[in-house]
Amino acid sequence: MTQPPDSPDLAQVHLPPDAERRLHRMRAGEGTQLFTSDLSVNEFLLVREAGFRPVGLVLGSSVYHVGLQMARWGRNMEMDRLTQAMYHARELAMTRMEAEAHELGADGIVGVRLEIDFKEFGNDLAEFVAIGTAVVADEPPPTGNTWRNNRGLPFTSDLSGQDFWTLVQAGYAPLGMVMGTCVYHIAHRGPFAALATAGTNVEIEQYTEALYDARELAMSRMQAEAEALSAEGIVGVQLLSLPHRWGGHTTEFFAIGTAVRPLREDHVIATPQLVLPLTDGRW
Amino acid sequence: MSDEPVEEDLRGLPPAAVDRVRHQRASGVRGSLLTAAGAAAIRSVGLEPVGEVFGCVVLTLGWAGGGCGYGYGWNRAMGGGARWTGGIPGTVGGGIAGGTSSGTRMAPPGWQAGYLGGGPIGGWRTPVVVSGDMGSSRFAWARPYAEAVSRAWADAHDRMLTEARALGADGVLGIRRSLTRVAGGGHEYAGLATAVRFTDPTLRRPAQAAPWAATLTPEDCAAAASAGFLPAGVATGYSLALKHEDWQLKQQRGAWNNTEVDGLTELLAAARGDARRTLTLQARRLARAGELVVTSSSLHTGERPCGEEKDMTAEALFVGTVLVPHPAPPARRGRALTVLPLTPPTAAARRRRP
Repeated sequence: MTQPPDSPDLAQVHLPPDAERRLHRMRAGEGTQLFTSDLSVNEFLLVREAGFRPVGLVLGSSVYHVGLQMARWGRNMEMDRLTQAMYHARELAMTRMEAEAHELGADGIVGVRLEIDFKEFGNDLAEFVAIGTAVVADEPPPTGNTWRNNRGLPFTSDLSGQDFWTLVQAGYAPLGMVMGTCVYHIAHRGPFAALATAGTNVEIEQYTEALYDARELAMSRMQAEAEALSAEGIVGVQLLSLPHRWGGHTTEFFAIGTAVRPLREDHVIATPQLVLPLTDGRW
Repeated sequence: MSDEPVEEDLRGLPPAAVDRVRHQRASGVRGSLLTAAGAAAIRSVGLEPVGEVFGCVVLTLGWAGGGCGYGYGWNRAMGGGARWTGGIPGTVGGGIAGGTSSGTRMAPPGWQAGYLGGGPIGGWRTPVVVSGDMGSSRFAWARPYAEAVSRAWADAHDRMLTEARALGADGVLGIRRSLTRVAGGGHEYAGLATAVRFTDPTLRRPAQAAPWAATLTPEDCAAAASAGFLPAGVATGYSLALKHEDWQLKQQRGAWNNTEVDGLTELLAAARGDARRTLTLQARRLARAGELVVTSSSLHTGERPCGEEKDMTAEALFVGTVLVPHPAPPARRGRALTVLPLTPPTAAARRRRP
């Protein structure tokens, strides 16, 4: 994990003046109790039910120019410069979002979406956006102290409102989103190698190795981030292969999940019962 | 098409819409865009459909003039940048950093301080301008465009509400907004929704009041109503941000190494910031207190020629529904029923994927 274990000072993060003014007004209340959230209605209601109050939509964005790196045509290798770029840009967006939440005095951010958007400006330019809803807890956690994580940052979670509610009900609290990324170049096979296996059922070890390696790297980096937060575990992990725009052989392997800690000893949930919904799979 | 005078409450609608509303009033047949589940959901909170309503505006959009003029030796014209110290009101980023003559970079407020300057040679940076404040800058030519777009959304919405009001509805829900390119260069801004009214006559809207509106789905409205919230209206925040491609931007885009592109980050942040500001202002006009649920947000970027160089544009659009406490919340049957589905992730969970 490239992120330093010591936490960034969120008060020092520069936000656009517009955002600062807006957040300041929101914090001051300015005679209004109007809050913004991008949760769906059900999520919003469940988050309230879980004992949290949405205080505002928070957003961090960074337009990033991803540098160039040449890969050896016939070699499996990590493209470390690209990996670094993906890490750094996401971190910039996340930190800005956290800074906005800090400004609002939030305990955490739920429903975080981390998006990468390649703009019309050019192939090597991408916008990294982190959007979520900042929440304040009605009460401190049963363990005492604070809902914030061990780095003093508001907790972040990419879980939906429903999952968040379930998690809190079952006696867990999110600590932070953890991620690991690895941009990997998978070697091309030479014409002779391709010819030798033509028409046969064989494992292509070179490819297996590359894909294995890349995913392991991404997952172990995510694991390291969770360890840095002294998490008990990670939930909702997704392992994605994002081809982006680097051609067929260079792919980003991205692992992301929410690190959690226990709030109490027992984690009992209601006994499952059968429910037949009358909707088309919509809850 | 009849020549009879148009009723007071139907003014402003096209003849076809007037005919349809009259017909609907007379026949009493009530259409709706609801699914069976949606219809059941809203009935459970004391709402019934009155009819589907529609409103649209077709516009041709053009940019009057073009280019901001920064492309032609603006550096000389603005030399020293004295008048720009501290930034143009409303511009983000605090104006142009010091002219090349002084060789020093003016310290702009907050936002830029954390970034690398381009150094003495590349030290100049063009400002980012948002549509809220374009009048005071060189981008004044883009203002009519920005205003036309926000007005189009507002007009389409108002026409839809006029239809709803004429049908005697208390509100409209499940609004679907669309922007379609029409052959011949026009853009159609449209809204389509189901008008509903309360079954309880005491909750009906007073004759002068406008119906409420919601971009939420009927199911969401029902969930909100059963939890004691009612939509108050729809807020729309639109903003256009512009920036002339400056030296720093070109340099950062052309670099070989990894770097954040400050100018573009700033441009997109400014567009979003301004759109969110407008959104909040509109929401506050609808209700002093409540919850603003953002139902959609989008950002489009583009480039426009400006002399030999380029202007970068970003358009941000945020749409949300304001929820306010229900005047007479339907009796709640205890707390929300706790159901943990054992099915694969819900749509809401899938929506949140990176």
